[in-house]
Amino acid sequence: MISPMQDELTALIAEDLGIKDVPPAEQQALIGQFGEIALKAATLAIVGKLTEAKRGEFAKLAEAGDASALKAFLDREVPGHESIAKAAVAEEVKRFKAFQAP
Amino acid sequence: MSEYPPGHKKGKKAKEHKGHGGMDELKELLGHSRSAVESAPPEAVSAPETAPNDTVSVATEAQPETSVQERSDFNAAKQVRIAERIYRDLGQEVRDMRVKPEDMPASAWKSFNAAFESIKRLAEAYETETDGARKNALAASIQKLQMTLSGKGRKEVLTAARSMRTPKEKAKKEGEKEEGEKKEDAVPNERQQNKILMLVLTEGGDVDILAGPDAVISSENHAKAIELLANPKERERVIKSIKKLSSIKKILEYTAQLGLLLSKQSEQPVEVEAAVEPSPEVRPLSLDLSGPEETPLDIDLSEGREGTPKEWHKRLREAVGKVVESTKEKVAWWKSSEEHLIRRKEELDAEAEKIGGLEGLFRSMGEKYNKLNWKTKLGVGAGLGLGAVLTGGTLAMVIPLLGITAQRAAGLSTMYLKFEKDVHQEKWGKEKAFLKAGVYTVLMGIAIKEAIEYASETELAHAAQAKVENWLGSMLGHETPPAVTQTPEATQVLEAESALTPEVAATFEAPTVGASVRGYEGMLQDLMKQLPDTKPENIPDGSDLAKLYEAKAGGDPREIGNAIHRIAMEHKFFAEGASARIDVGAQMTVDPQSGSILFNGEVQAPAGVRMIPDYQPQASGVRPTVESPAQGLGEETRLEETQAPAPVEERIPTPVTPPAEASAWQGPDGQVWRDSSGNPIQSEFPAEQLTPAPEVSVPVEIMSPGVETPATPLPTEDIPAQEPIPTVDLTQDQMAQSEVSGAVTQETQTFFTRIDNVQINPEAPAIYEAQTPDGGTYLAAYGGSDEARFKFIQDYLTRPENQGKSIRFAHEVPSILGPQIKVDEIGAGTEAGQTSWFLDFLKKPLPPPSPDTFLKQLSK
Repeated sequence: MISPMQDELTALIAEDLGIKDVPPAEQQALIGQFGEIALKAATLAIVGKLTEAKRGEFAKLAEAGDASALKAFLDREVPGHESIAKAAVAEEVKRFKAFQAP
Repeated sequence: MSEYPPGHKKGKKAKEHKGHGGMDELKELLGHSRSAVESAPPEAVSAPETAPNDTVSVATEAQPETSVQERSDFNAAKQVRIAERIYRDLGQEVRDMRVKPEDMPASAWKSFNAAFESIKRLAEAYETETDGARKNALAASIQKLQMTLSGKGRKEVLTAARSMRTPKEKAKKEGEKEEGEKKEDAVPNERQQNKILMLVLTEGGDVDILAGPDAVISSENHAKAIELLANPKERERVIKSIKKLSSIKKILEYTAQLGLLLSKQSEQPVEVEAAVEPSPEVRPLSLDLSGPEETPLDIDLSEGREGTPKEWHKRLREAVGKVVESTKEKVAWWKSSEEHLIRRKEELDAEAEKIGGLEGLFRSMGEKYNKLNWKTKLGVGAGLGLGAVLTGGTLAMVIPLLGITAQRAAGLSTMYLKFEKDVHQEKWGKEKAFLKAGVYTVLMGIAIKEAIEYASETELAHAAQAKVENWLGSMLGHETPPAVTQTPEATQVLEAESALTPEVAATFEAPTVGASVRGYEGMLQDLMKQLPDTKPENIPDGSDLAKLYEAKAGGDPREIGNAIHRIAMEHKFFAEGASARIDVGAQMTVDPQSGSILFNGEVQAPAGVRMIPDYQPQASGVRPTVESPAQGLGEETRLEETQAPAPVEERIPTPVTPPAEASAWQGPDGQVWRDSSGNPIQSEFPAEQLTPAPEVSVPVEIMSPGVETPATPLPTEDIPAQEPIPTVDLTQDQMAQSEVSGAVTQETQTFFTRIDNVQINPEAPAIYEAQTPDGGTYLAAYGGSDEARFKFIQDYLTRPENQGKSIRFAHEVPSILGPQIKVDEIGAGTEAGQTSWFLDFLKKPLPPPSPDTFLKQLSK
């Protein structure tokens, strides 16, 4: 059984993506797929701001999964990284919705 | 990749699939003679290794076996054929679920394969054996293995296959793969459209009857539909039943299913054309298919309209066409959106390749993401700001989520699960949406301290932060009044959420437990304590969870101990007289769907896991510490007496008192089998029913006489709790303390540190004064599990005399590479009569507090 909190989050994201009228199973499938797009788009946008040497460092930190170290690194190397990530994700949302538009 | 099935070609279908014919034949042969199997002589198990192969006896044709005495006509070759047939049938059953056996995890087939291979091996030994008694023993073993093959082994495979099947998506993806481009051409033709409507009408409100990958449109349904429509009374009944459908949406989904199935069956002729014409007296249909949330379809087949059968038929076709087209449109839209996302992902991968140096990371990201379960994927999406629930989404929050395996995420930590439940009971305000999203995401992947950190650094600040801290305090046993006054709006939210609480309570939340000094079996005992009292619904029979509940229901501690030990053996955490080493960061949970116990996300002990031989007190020369109730494990990790077998901590071996071993497992030579702590393995069966044959997949070796306590099994003696704690000086390698082995540290061992001989019990949290390299001092928390230690620190700091102090402690955080130890500081103060907390996230890599540096113990 899906918890109410998951339902709530799913509904919010589905609305954001313009798929709230799609059956729940398909909503999950699309949100799940879109999550990977968002993750990769945000990563690309941020990594694009790094030099090649720093990209390797970023990759190592990402593989290690240390949130604090990652945050410290991004704060230092990519000022405003949160806005960049957000803009990249927003762009993907926009692109997805544009595709759906008749 | 699955090991399925040995000797079975990939994709090969059983030519003579006869359901459970193999099972029936087996049952006939066995005559359900379980007692015969159980009373088989002990030589049966070791027979393959010891059987002479210099002679061959030709077995005669078998007759049904009913007892050991009649085994002279046992046919080993036939038994092998039966096993092979069961194999083929099982493979077909799995494929029928639209799961490829070769795609299944090897662990799913492990028991089955082991039994299958053993049958073949024992059959060979049987053929070459000349001694009658040994042949009987081999026959008994083969029959027992057949039971395992068709029972437990088969069940495990089917359970795993079922868990791999996700009905709708799987069906559609399979269909997509199989049909490929043909799908576009698979528009239901006129006859098929009629057929759809007929079936919709026939099946009435039972929309589930044809749902799922196993659905079949039968010719009987066609005929029934035609017959029903020809009869006015029946037609009225059908119309009434279809009106019971709550909305047109269900019909659309239903017809979508049918359309998909029809498209696959388009090569088969549909013979409904001739009979579909209604008789002249049949009146036109009146279909009111409008639903409350859907736009009514324009199906104009009103009662008042006259028409010939041909006209009616035409209108019917048009109406069905509209339904089908509408459904197709929705399905097509969804499919195209999905395809769009796939294309976009490929574009992003290509962009990453252009940038260079990121291919590995991107590939790893994609693979790890796809292994996440829905809950974690949702966390990734919310963490990145999807749904506008968290505008400060950051990669640093999200990437650590990828380090959580799907299975582990299902359970996560008890802390997170408690949060998810409590969030509907707490006094959240209007900012609950993004607050919950943020905390949800953060708590899932990172640690509790990061929750506070992000609460203070992102938009969750201020009131939200206070609530997070309030919740944390509440969860950790420090109730503080809500910091934010509830608005009427918030009250409404609360009311709405409180209505959801029963639903939350009814949900089975898989508990997660950490490493136990009592090893895998100790973790299982801890897990049992956290299971709901009532057995959750839909737990597969025969699963680990079902076994635990069965044992628990009996209320017999020995039965519980047996069940736990069997699971440890089945999963190879206890094998060949040794226990798997359990590391500090180990976690155990249960998969709510399959009911399997998951240890670090895996069912079976990982290949190459370090096995530690049984602890032998006599050999070590170290007298184990006896744990009193007031010491050792924290309250939350101590076993309840009614649930656990006699705790090993309360036993101390002595060479004098022989215990009653009437029901202990014994080997063929009379030696008693012992568990990882040296205690005899008790059986639930009376001694006279004991058979030495172990589980097929987990052979247990008899301890060699050189290691075994001679002649008599290991006795035990209860030690009063007040007895002084014996200690050992272990001032050598302290790093060894970072590993908790179920076998090695079965007994609580304390030790003295180098500095000032401070007595340390690594299993109990305590506060110590420690020395820095430059001679300074600080407070350090050490001992116990992360959770117990954290709670202990909180308790310590809330005492008035400790206000303002800070304590350094190490704890574990998950990452892609596995659990990692981090060091932080926590302190407490008082503001406006309330306890206020601070966490200092030590940026520089400090070593965790080490007993080497402890000067004295401040608190136990």
